Amino acid sequence: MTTSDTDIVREALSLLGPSHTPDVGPALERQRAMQRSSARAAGSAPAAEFITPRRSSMNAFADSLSHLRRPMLGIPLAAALVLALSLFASPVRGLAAQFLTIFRVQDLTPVTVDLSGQGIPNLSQLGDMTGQSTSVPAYTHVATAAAASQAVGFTVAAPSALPSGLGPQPSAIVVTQGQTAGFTFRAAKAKAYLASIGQSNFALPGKFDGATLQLHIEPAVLMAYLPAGTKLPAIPDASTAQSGLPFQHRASAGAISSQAVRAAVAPAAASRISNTEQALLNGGLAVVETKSPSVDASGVSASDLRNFLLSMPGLPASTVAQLRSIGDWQHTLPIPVAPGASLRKVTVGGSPAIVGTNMGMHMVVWVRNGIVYAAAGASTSDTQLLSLAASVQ
Amino acid sequence: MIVMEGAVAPTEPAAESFESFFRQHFGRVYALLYRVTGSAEDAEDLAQELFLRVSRQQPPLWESPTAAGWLWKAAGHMALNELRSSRRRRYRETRAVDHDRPLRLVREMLQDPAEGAERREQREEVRGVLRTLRPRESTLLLLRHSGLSYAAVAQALELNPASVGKLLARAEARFREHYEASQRASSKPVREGDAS
Repeated sequence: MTTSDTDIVREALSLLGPSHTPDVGPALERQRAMQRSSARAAGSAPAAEFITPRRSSMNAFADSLSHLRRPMLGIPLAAALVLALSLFASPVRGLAAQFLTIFRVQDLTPVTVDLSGQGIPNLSQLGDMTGQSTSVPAYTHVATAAAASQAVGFTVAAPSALPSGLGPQPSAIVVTQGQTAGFTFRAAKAKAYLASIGQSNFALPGKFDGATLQLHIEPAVLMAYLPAGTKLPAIPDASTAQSGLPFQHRASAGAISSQAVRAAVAPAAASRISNTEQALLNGGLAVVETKSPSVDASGVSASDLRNFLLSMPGLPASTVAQLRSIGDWQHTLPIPVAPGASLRKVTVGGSPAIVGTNMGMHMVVWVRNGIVYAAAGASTSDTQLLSLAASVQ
Repeated sequence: MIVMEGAVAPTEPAAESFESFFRQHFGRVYALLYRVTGSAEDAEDLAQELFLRVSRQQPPLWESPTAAGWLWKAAGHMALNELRSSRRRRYRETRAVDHDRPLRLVREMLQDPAEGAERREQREEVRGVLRTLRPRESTLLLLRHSGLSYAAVAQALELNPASVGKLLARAEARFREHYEASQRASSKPVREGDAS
C-alpha cells in the first residue's frame, strides 16, 4: 500500500500545528489596545528626549515592546521567581571564588514597569551574555514532595489550606534545575549602542570594561493544584528523579521511530495540553518554592553597578525612582508589575510578603529563611492566597 | 465587485466590520504562523502585527471583497520570512522584561519533558525541509495545509486557479523527496509503506 504525497505532507505539517488556538475574544481585545497605542504614537510628537527624529533602533524596540501588553492569558504561576530568568537565561561555568555576592533576597517590593513607553535598555547591548539563551530551564516531573526536596536541596513544604475544589495533593510536581548566567561589560559595544540611540555623551565608565556579573538561579519546585478530575500527562520521569539522577531525560536514548513519534504527538498530546491549560484557568493554582537567587560581581562594586544601571537612558523615570527608593536594595527583590496592578506589602507569619493582582493574576510572594515562596491563581482571592501561604509550614 | 486583472474573484464576502474580519481569520492566521515559529507567543505577536497592518489601511481594507486575499498574501510572506530567518528569536532575546515568560515556562513544564524534546526535534525537521524548498513551494504548502481552498490559495499567491492543483502536486512531491531524505539522513526509519 502506498501513501500519497498529500498524506505525507499533511501528516508532517500537522506536527507543526498548534495544540489549540488562543481565544479570539482576548486576542481581539489586545488588537484593539495595539490599535489605540499605535494611533496615539502616530498622533503625538515623541515626548521623550531619547527618541531621535529619525527612526532609531530604540524606537523600533519601543514599538515592539508596546505589543507585549497582551491581556493576561490567565495561567497562574508564581511570576516573580521565574521572571529573574528573563534577564539572563544562559548557563555558564562558575568562577565563583573570585566573586563577591552583591545580592540575595530577604525582602520584596513591587516595582511598576510601564512597557508602553520607551524601550528599556538591555544588558546584551552593553556587553556579552555567555552561552545560548534557552526559553525553558531543564526540568523534570517528580512524584512526591520528598523527591522534590531531594532535587532542590531544601525541604519542600506543601500548603494545607487550599481553596475548595483543589487538592490536597498537587496534580503535578515539577522541579527545575538551577542555572548560572554570566555577563561581561564591553566598552566598545556599549559605546556603539549608546551612539545608535543618540546618546553619545553618555559613556560606560572605564572601570566597567571587562567587569563581570553572574546570576545564580537555584533549583525550584512548582506544584500545580488543579481542579478535581483534571487529567494530566503521565509522570514518566519520577523514578529517575528518585534514583538521584533527576535531570536525565530519556529523549536521547537512541533513535526514535517516526511511527512512534506520530503516535506520541498526535491528538492525544494536543488534548492533554489543552486540558491542563483549561484546568489552570478554571480555579487551579501554582505554588513555587526556591532558594533565593543571587547575583555576584567582579571588577566593579555593587553600588557603582547600581548607580550606572539606574542612570541608563531609556529607563522610565518612575521605575528608576521606585528602584532608588528601595532602602536595603542588596537584599530586596523588586517584583516587576504592570501599571494598574494592586500588589501591596503584607506579612505572612511574620515574614515579608506581597499580595494582590498583577495583570489579571492573583499572587502572593513571601520570603522565609532564605527561601522564596510564591502562589498564584487566575481566580483565587487575596484572602485565599494569604491563608494558603500561612499554611505552608 | 472589483476583480483585479490576473487575480481571481474573491472567495469570501466582505466582512461587516474589522471585528468580524478578525474573528473570521485570526485562528487560521495564528495557526499558520505557529507552524513556522513553533511558539505560541511569537505566532500571536505576528498575527497581531498583521491585523494591525490591516487596520491601518485606508480606506478600510476589511470592507473590500479582496481583503482576505490581501491578508493571506501578507501572512504567506510573513510565514516565509519567519521560516527563513531567525529574526524572531533574536528579537525575543532583546526583550528586557518579558511579563509572559513565566506563563510560557509553566505551560511547557506541565508537559512531559521527554515527549516535548521528541516533538521539538520532529518539528524542526519538518521546518528544515520547508526551508530547502523554493519559497513559493513552501508558502503554497503552508497555505493549503492551513485550510485554504485552491481558490483562496490562488488569490493569495496571485496564481491562476487552474494551475494551483498542478503546482501543489509538484510541491508535495518535492517535499516528500526532501523529507524522506532527511529522515534517512538522521537514521530514522522511513514510514512504513514506502519501504517496498
